[in-house]
Amino acid sequence: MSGMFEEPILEIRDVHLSFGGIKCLAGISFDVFDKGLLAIIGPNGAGKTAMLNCISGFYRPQQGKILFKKKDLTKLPPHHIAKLGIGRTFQNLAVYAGASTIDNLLAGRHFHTKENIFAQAFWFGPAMKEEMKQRLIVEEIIDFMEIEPSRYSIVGSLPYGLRKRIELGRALAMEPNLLLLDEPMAGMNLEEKEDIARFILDIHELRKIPIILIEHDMSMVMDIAQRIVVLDLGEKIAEGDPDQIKSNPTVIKAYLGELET
Amino acid sequence: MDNLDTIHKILDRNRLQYGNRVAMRKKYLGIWQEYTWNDVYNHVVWIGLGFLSLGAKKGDRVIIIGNNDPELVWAQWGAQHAHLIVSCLYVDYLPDEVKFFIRDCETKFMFCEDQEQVDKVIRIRDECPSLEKIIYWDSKGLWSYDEPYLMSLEQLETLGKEYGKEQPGLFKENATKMKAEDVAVIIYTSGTTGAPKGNLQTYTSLLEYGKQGCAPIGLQPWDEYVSYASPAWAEQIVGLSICPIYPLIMSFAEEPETVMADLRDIGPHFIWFTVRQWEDLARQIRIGIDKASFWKRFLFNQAMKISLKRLTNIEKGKPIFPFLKIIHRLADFSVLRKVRDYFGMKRARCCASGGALSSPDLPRFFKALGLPFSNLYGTVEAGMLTTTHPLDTAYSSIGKANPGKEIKIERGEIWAKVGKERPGYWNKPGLWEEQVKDGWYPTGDAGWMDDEGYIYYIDRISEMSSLRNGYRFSPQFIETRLRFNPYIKDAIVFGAEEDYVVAIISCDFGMVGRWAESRHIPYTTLVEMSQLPPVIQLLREQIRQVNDSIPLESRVKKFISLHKEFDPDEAELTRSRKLKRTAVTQKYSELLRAMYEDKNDVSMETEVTYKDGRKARIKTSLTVNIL
Repeated sequence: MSGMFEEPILEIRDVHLSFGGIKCLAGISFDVFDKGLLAIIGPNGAGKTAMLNCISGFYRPQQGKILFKKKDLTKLPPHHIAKLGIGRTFQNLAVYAGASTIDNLLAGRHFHTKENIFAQAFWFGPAMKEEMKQRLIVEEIIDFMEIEPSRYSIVGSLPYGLRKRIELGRALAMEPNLLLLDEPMAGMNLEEKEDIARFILDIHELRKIPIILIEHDMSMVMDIAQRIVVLDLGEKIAEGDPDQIKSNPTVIKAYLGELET
Repeated sequence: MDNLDTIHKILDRNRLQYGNRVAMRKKYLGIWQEYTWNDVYNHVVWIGLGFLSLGAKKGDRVIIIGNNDPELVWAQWGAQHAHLIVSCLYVDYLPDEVKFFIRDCETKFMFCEDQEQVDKVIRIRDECPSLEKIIYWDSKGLWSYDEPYLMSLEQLETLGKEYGKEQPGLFKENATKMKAEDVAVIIYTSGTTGAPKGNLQTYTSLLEYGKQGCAPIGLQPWDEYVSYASPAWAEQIVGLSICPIYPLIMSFAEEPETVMADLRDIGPHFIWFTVRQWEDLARQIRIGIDKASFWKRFLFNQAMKISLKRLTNIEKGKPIFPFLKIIHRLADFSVLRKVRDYFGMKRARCCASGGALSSPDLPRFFKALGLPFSNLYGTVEAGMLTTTHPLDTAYSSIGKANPGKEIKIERGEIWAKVGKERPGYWNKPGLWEEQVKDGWYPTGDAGWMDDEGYIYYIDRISEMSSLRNGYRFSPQFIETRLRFNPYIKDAIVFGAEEDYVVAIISCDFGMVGRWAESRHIPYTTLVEMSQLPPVIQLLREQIRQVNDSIPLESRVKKFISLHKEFDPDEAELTRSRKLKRTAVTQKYSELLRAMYEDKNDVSMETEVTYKDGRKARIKTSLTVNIL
């Protein structure tokens, strides 16, 4: 298996999360290795998004540890976690609908922009240079994500598939060390799905960063993921490479089996 | 200009005389990047030497597939300096189609734009034994490909630079051996009739074609030009031969989708679109007006009315009264000029259209907008034959014969005098000689000439049909008129050996959708929308309008509104978006039969091909509508 001798970059250790009496995550543990592409799959309500929300700090697990480069994330507020270099996209789009594509992507550069309120207000000297530097990086992402035609468009007016792409671009703009993608292909047609799959692989190849992906489309997951974690009702029921998961009887029963009936 | 008879002589002159002036622009990262003639020349040298170091022999072939980019132009010129014969393909060819071309001309090198094209070629590489190297110029997504036969443009140029150091003088020595009568490119015919044939073109023929076509439209050195036409044919003559001669400044759009915005950035003097692209532009303008506020719409419509009135008077030779002159000036200044500016055509000195038959409404529309619109007519075999001068009033004609060209009408067919500038077809010896009769080439196009020498194009002879009573008519003639209607995207007209003419209409789903929305007509899918009674009624009215302008015998009597658009991927259109008549007739034979059998509706099962090659079947019921 890949990374057998490597240190994991993200360690999930016995994470418990519940809302009142509802157990959402019941002792989940797994590792994410550097440069790995890990998919989390499972039926609806299995706790996939809850898991991502724990990593990015939106939820606080009652028990357990999430170690990113040996640093515990469970006590940190979301913006600190973002500052550590964990970028994410959301299941239900979270772009600034009233702003242009450029502005959305520039927002992703927030942590990397040197600020000086006076210089920026008058746009001279260092502020000008800084903005040009940030714009260049954003333009490179626009080129990478192939969204040139909608550079100045208001994001809210764009079709769904494009907005998803812009959200992914914004996550990239923060130069993440770990990328969390929550159902990036939901609600897309086959062609759009394949486009996004290509972008994910390209990001993975070019940036060489670990990616955690939640996705429902099994054929996509089997095609692009290197390792898969299967959740069901808040518990991890399997972990392995796509071939192992395909032939795992528990998984077939819990998830794939349901599809066949 | 006359001693500039090869691409090398032209580029060498440009380097020496205009070395530091801008030759090309490409928008990259949102900014226009400029290349001078020195830059261009250097790239050509490196690429040429690169090909030589890979063992290119005189007369070997290279196929280029990609969107218009500076790299594509350098690659073509570079390859030609290594005495390679270049052929460019449409970017949306499917792998099997690409395979046909690779095998047909036994190409040694493939020059691809990006991962998409490289993947296509890799998929079919095993079946193409002649192919040695694949070179690409956009490395995105190709970082981890380690196939030994793959190479980036930078790698090729590095090879070239090193080879140049080892053998100084080799490039120049090679380039001066280039002769005007050398075969420079193979242009494949689009294949409306059978498998594509490769037309050989020499430097002489390319440059001749360009001069013939461009002489009447008054280009000037350093005019701005946006390279957008596909290099598979038209751009070979304009962009790759004419631009360096004048020279014109070539600009390249950031992405094919951004052309309209980029056009506005540049404000070109010379615009060269196919009829299809002009039709699309007219459509866009009308959609834009349709969406505008009431006052804007009102002003635009009034301004167009005034302008059209003036045009009709000119056309009919009637005087233009001072009042009309004044309000036309006013309309032009306050409304039409703004529209031209919005679409980046404020400076346009020549708007050329070519490639297929256009409805006379198309030039009329753009002329009314105040654009100098010209029809160009030519064939790959015989060159650019006719051009309408921007001041010509015969809108439905394709113009007079270009200077140096002789044209006659022989039994209703357009014949053109041809010289010896073209050596014929690739790999089909004797075929060209067979076609030419005493120095005249029958173009296969039906047409007629009026007393003043204006030539009117009707259709391909092979595509003319006759009704059962013997009445001859041109389906394309009716189709172009239908297609000019904003609600109709595509149409195919039939009637061969039948009693009356029928049509299958593919409506413009965007326009019709908006129309339905504005009238609160609900629908869930486009398939459903295409069959809604109000939509059918709308289409009926549109067809009636067209019917009024065509002879009684060939008017459309029945039509079916198709549930989908025609698509090149389903072999319904050629890559240049011309209708593939035989294929479509076959595919929709059930629909046609239904229209002649007095049925009221017909169920239809179609196979749709997705972009990735997967297939699915869709079953729909379509109504037969009587006009």
